Amino acid sequence: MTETDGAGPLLDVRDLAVHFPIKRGLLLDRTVGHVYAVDGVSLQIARGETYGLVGESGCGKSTLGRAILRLVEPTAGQVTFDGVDVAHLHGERLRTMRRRFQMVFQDPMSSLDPRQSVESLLLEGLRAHGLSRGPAADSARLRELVDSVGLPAAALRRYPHEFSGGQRQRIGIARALSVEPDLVVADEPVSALDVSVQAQVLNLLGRLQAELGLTYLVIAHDLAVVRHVSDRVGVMYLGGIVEEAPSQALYDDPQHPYTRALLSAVPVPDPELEDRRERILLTGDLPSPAAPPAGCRFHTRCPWRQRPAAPTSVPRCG
Amino acid sequence: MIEGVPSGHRVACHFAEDIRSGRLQPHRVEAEAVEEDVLAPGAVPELPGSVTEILGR
Repeated sequence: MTETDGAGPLLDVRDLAVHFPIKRGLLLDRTVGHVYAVDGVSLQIARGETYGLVGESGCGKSTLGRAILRLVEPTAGQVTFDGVDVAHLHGERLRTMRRRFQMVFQDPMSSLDPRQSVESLLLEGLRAHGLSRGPAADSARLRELVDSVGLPAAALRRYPHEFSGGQRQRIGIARALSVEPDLVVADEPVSALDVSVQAQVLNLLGRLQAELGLTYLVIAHDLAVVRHVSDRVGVMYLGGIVEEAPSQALYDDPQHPYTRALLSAVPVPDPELEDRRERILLTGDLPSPAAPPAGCRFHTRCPWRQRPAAPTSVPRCG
Repeated sequence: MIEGVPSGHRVACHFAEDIRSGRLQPHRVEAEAVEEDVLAPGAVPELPGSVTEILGR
């Protein structure tokens, strides 16, 4: 297991696929098909960068984040983290590597054990990864952690249900940071929070990134959230990335029909601009990832669809 | 690569250049229904891998 000198990207994902089998039958159940949740995704994230992944519910963005962290097993492809192919790591080597990439979940109420105090929740990570340095040093480290996410030291003695949603998410962030990771995958980190609290948590993530040199993969369905925090943005549709660009370029000059449609659905505060702007309405629902359309996955809803026959190859970002 | 678009901007679309240039214009489309049956016509379902796999369910 060799690590790079920091020159290359921190995370390099190549042709990653996650296909879940569909079983039917009782005793002799059989695999009758697959859900193509993630299908041939490639992306790179540089050190210190924030990569935003956006797409509608069911497009596979959370599965992609989990597959990168090996919380679900990839069916195919490579996930290279700091020069190490984590898609094929096992046992102790995987556990050791896991310290370096952590996840912040959407719903902190369900991701924090309600029977553990905040102190216990944070200590668990330190002990699991051999970072415990004795009671006095651990206590100082925990106080430092809760302080870094804007909570008082008294929070350590309390339980998750005693906090508001925003405070619970801060605890989730502190837990992720407790093991000093390099990459944090934040899966819908603010979508369960009130709008007034969303900005606080996003600003906190930004401050921690600046202070600790963190790299983020932020997964969200909210275009405004992704635009606010990301250096680069990838747009996902039905298991694949259809467009990727620096944040400003993607929002100013979207190229893919799906991205254009998504952005045209965002209301503009200026009433005159709102009346004049182009709206692209998509028809139909997201097709089933168990039976994705042949060729371009978006062609069944694409306003630029061509007749008689569209190319049968699946277009890839290039 | 699409003409006029910076190299870091990647797009997965067969017609991206034509759409950008305006040669293709959006039109009203009816969403195509996609066959929902997950098993391809004539395909035989895979068998379970082992007895352990059967008993494990």
